[in-house]
Amino acid sequence: MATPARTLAAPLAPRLNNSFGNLLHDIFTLYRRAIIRQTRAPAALYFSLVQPLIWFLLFGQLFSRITTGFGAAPTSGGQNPVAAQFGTTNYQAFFLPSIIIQMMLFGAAGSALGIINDDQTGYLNKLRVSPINRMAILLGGLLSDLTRMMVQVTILVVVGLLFGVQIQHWELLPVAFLIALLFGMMMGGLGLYVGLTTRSTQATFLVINFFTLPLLFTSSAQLPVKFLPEWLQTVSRFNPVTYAIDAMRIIITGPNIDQRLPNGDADLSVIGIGLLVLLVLAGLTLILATLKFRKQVQ
Amino acid sequence: MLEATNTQTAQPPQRYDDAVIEVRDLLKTYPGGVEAIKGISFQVREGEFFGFLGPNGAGKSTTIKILITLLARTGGEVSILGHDVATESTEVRRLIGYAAQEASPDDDLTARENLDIQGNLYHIERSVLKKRTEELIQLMDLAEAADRKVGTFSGGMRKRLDLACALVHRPRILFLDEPTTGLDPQNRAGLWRYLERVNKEEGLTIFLTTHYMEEADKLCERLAIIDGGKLIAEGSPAQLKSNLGGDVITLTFADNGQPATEQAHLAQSFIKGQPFVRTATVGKEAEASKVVVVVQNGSESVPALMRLLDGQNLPVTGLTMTSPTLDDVFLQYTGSRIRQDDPVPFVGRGGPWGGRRRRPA
Repeated sequence: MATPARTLAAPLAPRLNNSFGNLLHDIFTLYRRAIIRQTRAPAALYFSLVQPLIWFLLFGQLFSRITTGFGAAPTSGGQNPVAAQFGTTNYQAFFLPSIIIQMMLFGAAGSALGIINDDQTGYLNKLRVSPINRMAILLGGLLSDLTRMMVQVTILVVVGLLFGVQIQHWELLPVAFLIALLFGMMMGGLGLYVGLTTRSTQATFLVINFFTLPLLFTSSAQLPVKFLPEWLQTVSRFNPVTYAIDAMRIIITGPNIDQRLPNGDADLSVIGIGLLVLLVLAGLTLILATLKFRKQVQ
Repeated sequence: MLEATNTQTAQPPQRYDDAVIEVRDLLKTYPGGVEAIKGISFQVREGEFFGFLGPNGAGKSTTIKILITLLARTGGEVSILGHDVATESTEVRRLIGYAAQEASPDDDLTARENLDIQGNLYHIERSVLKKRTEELIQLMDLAEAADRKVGTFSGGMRKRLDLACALVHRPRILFLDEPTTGLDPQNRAGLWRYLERVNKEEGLTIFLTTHYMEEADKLCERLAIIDGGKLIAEGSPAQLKSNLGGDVITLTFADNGQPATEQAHLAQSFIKGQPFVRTATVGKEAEASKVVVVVQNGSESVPALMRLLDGQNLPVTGLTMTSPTLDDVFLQYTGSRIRQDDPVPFVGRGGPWGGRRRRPA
């Protein structure tokens, strides 16, 4: 019962090579999907935008009198000595880089959720059966999360300006954004690694939350490092959060006691060191996540 | 304990010139030592509607996952349209479509967006994709819902969209893993119509796994029956049934001082020697008190069987006579039935590197 020869329509999918252009196409396709998904959950989007704003206003107000030395009179005519050490009398200006990094820190778990969700619904199998580049599966989602977070950074900076933050180095503002982006990539890579290892939403949140607050409180987020007890000062020097916040602070707030050279000038090398540390760590976590993913997904 | 007395031993698998799926001596052993596939060989021809029938845990899912490049094999050869699934996976992926047991469109996207993303995964040119998307929306009767979020779809609609997604790049072969599990009878019959249509109209080769006898019988031109990681029979449903013989007589025994199962075994040993009997099989487990006898002519054989068993003091408490079904074929080879009324086990929404891979059933 041989079936008669049928004239078959040719497959619509072209042959693909491993070119960079094809990788970009795949990343963009999944990026587009992830962005559409984000817009379909407006409540989540709205709260993720508003939450850092609330923190910013609340924390900024809570500590606002620290930078004025609790209203203590200036000793030797002119500047308040406490204010001099923060590099500003506006705590909100001091705190703005912290809240930006804090937001990226807490965003890490989010990047893992997309892939865990796709794993659970079976969508990931659809992707795996298609001829797309495997890297695109990780990067498409990560980039859409970073996009959302960079919009949040912009909003925070604008709100900061409204609250009287005076940006010290306007010309370096793109570098501040780059620092935020690299930090987000580092945390995104970490989130993906944890998510791919645990493959559970709850476990990912638990693991990430275990690290985030300690990382925040052993850094220069709330106070200059020199104000911390000595053991904490040591810990903070191994904390990437410190590097990111300090580099950003020179640009946005101006140098505080930590970043001033003996002659009183700003130590601009902090920016370069911060970029370097974050670049290395972002590369590292993304490579770890990729290796984990490669092992699980053929 | 295989009690089958059939004389059909495993035949060498048939070879075809127009084979689009070629599987030879396929082996799969999971880490941990579970042998899921113990050397199976078969071929699927161009344009064929081919079914892989077997009970849950027989190795169907493992086989399909190897064929669609999601799982690495342990041994043997597997090629799709002449391309090895392991070494030329990208080319294989371009040519095949796959719909999982559980429909998995993106619920946050509309039907049209799902098809658009899916088409872009295959790098289909924009204008071609647009046309193809509309074509599939019509084919699957989704026109009215095309711009609605898939989260609002009924189960049948999601399934149809999932099928459309699997077809968007016009694959040469469509792989379906238990496509109608979990659907109500109406949606099941509907899906069958769509599948028959794409098989005929698009000349698409379809490879389907199922544990529904009725589905395999209705849809498939050719079947392979798999159990315990081995192929036990292959052929068209009609061939498989006619190989079995004319009529199937099922005799039931009851405990009467002597256990029913013991009676069944005794009866089988007497019956199988009779010249008019082709095969006699004692069922397994819940079917252990039954003997299934295949004969050339049922109405002539029943009186002879009754006389024989009366003479041996083995009272028959129930008797049915039917034309052979695929279930009888399955019973013939394995001694058990594919229980169709089993509730579908909830295995979670199966992950790709998920539970199954770590703890193969």
